[in-house]
Amino acid sequence: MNRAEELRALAQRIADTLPVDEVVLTGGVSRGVADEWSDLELLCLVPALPPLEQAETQARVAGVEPTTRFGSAEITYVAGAHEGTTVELVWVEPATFDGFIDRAFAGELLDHSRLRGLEALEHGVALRGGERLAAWQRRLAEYPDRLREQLILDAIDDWGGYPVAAYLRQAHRDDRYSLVRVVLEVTDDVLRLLFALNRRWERSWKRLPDLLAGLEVAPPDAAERIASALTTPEAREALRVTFELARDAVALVGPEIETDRARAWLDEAVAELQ
Amino acid sequence: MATARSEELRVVAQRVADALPSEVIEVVLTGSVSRGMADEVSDVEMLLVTAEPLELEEAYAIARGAGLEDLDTWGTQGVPAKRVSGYVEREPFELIMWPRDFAEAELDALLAGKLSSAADALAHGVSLRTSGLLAKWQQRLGDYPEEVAAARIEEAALPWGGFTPAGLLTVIRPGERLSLLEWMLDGAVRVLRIVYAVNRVWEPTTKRLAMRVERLAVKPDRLAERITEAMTEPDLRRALAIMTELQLDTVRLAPDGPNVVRARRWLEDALALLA
Repeated sequence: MNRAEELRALAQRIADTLPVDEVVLTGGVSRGVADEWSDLELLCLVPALPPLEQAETQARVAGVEPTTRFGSAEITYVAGAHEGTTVELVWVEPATFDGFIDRAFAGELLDHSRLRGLEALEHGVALRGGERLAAWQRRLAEYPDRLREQLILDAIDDWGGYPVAAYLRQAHRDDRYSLVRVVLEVTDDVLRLLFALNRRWERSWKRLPDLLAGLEVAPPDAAERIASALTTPEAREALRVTFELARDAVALVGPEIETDRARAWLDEAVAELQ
Repeated sequence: MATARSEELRVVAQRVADALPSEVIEVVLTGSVSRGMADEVSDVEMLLVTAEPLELEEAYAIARGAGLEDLDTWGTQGVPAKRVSGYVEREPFELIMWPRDFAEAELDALLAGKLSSAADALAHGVSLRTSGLLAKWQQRLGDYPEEVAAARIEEAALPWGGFTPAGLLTVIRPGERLSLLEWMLDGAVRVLRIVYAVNRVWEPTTKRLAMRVERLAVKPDRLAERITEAMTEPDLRRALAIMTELQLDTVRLAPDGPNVVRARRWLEDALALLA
């Protein structure tokens, strides 16, 4: 058995001991890309969220010694270790995901972590039950136009409305810390824009070169350019590469979405950084 | 000692403040000009408090009337706070306008623990026109509540222990510089949050880090330098080790709490793995 198969078998054993009708495997293991560092992520669909103590007890019975926990109105979360493998257990009420999907289709769910939850469902694998997962996956097979538009508008929103030159001069005068902040913020906006543009549910940016290679529409050499912006020691050069990539990404957006302000601002930014 | 540039911009700011209509009941100079740290690339930042809520068009009219040109706005729209940028005598200005009721509610929220650089901006603000609000706010902000500090420190230490330390190795897989930098930036933000809270100093914006942390009494050795080193180190594993050690030194300075105690153990284990 390779590592992915081992993890898959472990996930099934844990799922079988949980007092839950429907368990979904998500994360790298469900996508078949697990490696020696991968953890296990299991989603437990329950009619009502368990209190934290009860969730911890369920984890222990399943052989997972809890190391961290938190509860919110949306999820109960317990993570722990099973013989050196991290296992994350997330309890969710199905109505929560129904709500996320409804709001995504209305163009109202823009939060990255919740959208990542939908992407996890899209690639989830049922370990127990599976009817709800199948229904969600049918809905998620379509990518909503309203969401696409709103995410693109949200991504380009920061590019404009204040003076380019003053902003950039401050950014490259500053500490590496501020520079990294700016580069990561812009890069995050670019990636969100590209995923929406390609009608793909957004996800974590791990394994970035593979992710970008899988997009039909993207600026040339996007992964290499991001890597270069993150490693170049010269602040001005890092900003130039970053904003050029943003400019090239916005240029790919069709006329159905208003991008004039962002285009003008990014052109000015790139000219300033030449 | 304020820089010459600060003095110069302060004069322009006062002129703008004096030209504002009477519905603006409070004008606070914030940012690097108020601290006397302005240099050639600094802009002028001001908070205006108005008696009544404004529409964006009304905010523009007020800015225009005070001499700002090339007006624009940024950030979230449709909220009580209005933001207007523009130029006066070729100097860039950023005006934030709060209705009075909103300002009072914001103050209460800041003292109850809302994370925002506004607390620091107001604490170091310089009055350009006042009806007594700023002095009252600065008095309130002078007492950083201990329970806010404790809650902030515990919240900041939360992710350092959420998974087995070996899980950290996923951010140094070959080609994962973006994920690593995301983790390290988040780590640096949390380190700074803990350090400011330990010193009971309101957290400022992230600009000009080295200058800002210099004055803190309690902090890990070479705080700003180590953040830079972690973010510029070409070797992924070494970069992560530098940041992990800084995180560990930081939680060692923090008071005990469940997350802090757990983080100390977890970061020690993580550091051993990376050694």
